[in-house]
Amino acid sequence: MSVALKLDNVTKTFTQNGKTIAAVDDLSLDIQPGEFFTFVGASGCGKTTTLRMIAGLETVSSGKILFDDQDVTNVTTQKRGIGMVFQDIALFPFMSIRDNIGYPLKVAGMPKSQIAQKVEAAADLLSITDKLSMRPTQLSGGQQQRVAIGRAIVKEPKILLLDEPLSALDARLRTEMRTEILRLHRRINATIVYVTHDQVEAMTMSSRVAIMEAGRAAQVDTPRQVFRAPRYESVATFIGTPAMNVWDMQVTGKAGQPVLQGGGMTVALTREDAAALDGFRWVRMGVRPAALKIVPQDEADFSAVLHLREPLGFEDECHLETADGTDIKLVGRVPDTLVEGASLHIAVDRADYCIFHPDTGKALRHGLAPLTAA
Amino acid sequence: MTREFAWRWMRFLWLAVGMLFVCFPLYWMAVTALTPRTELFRPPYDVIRFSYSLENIRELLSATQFLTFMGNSLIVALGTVVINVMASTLAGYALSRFEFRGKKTFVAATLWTYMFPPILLAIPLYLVFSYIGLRNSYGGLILAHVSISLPLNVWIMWQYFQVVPRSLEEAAWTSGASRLRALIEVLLPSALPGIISAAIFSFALSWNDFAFAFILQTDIAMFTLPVGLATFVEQSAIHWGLIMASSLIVSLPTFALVFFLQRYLMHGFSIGK
Repeated sequence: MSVALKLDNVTKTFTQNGKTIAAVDDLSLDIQPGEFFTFVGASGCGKTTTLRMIAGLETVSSGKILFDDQDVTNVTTQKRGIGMVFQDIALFPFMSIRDNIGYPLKVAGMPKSQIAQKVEAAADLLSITDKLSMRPTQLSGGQQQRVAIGRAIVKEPKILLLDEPLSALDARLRTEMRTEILRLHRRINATIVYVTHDQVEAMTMSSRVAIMEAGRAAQVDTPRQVFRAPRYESVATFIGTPAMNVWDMQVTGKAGQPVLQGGGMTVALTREDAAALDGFRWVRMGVRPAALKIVPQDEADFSAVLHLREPLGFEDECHLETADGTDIKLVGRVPDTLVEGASLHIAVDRADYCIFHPDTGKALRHGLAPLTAA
Repeated sequence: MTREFAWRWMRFLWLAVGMLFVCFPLYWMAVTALTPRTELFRPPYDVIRFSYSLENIRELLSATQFLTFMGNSLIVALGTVVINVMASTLAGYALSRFEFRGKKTFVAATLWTYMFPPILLAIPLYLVFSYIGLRNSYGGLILAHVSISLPLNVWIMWQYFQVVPRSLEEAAWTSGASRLRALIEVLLPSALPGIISAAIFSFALSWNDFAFAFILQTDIAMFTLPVGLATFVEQSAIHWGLIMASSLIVSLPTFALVFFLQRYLMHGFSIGK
């Protein structure tokens, strides 16, 4: 099967105040037909620039972009045959919804009767059939975004690009539209490239995600794999809410039986960890809030005082403090009887932690899944 | 409560005084225009009159070159509007969408031109136009009017295109539309209020111009209305009835323009969002 979209050493540089800055730095990746591929990262990481280069709205400084093995690096936006949804929705304000959705077909010179038919079909898919004669300003934000999606898919593009399409919507609508877009992806036969700064969107919707940092993809993987086996500390702390706890720990203990110590905590590790820790005096240990458990004293790694609990509904987010004042977050079902100020015994789930290089932040070991070869 | 009430009335009072200053001359113009000449200079000069006639207007249309002046004014004003709209739209688009050398200087220069009073430009233009044979022509006067109205219009259109989101245009491109097609079908409708303000501004400027027309058009057959009206003031007599009648007619298009297009002007500020 051919690759739907291939980025081949793509670089984008800008000159700012005489200095050359790489917004996208030597990015290479393959996106398979029908994939829901997401670029996620903080603002300025190069995710939107990458999408705009794929769309042809931004030139490529060096490298190649291929659609279906065809080099499109120097092909204009108009001829790339993509569909795109913009962050600010960008509906044509003076056109009816019908004309907005039908615009790409009108440009393509399709007969009116056929346009009407296709617009109906797209509107039906997005449940906005009753809005077709209205103007964009008469619609709610969510409905406007549906129209924008309709305009992007009406020509049945092979590649559909979405640039932070949900960021203009309020929280509840975002959740709704997330499901809606996923459902749409199942129904239309298109490769979706999605850009977002919201890791929840990235995790819930994507087949694969690229975590972007400073113009590079820190990790390209399935959401599950990114969560379980983050390749870098930065990836680990970016993905997951609340963020992963990361502590500076000293490597002590006997050969073959390493013990990590620091921040008022002591965590004994196993023989399997020893190899990864070999040669390190200090490491950074990452534990997800949900991988910390309240246990009886004899099973505990360390103890901490409950400072604050925030009920999330099903679970609570607890802020703990160890003997030497390190803040720790724990998420779990905590007995209601525990009040703030209580002393708790905490254990680290031995199947769910990460150890990172103290300087580079590169993952040395994952408790849950062995690190796959780069 | 009462304090607020008092302030309110104070404001209305000020407005009323202001309105009086604006409206009374207009009213007096209209009344004078519609008063027969025989009654015009016979006291008492009542503020409210009851006998009206179209005598002045009839004379204006039959015995003077008013219609020629009007035709000249219309041709020159329309020419000015057409050139302004086309040039300022394209220039505004280019300024808002492309980076090029000297852009800042160019934009600053458009405003510098406002530091010169029209009369200062009119005399050199007279010499130049005499030399190249553009004096006493529609084209010459249109060019002169464009030279003073276009800079501000370029500025206006530049501002307008900056407000129209780029994504609107990009949405058209990703829909397959070429740059020109996107400009015409997507950007222009969004910038319509700007285009209409540019048109009104250049029309008003051309319609009201005296300095350029007075200096560049030496042949009475090429006079525009403001210059033509001045011919009603003769050494021995000032034809107030004729002046007021023609003033009345001259002011009608401006009123009509603002009245019918203000809807667009007001609407304009919310479009493109």
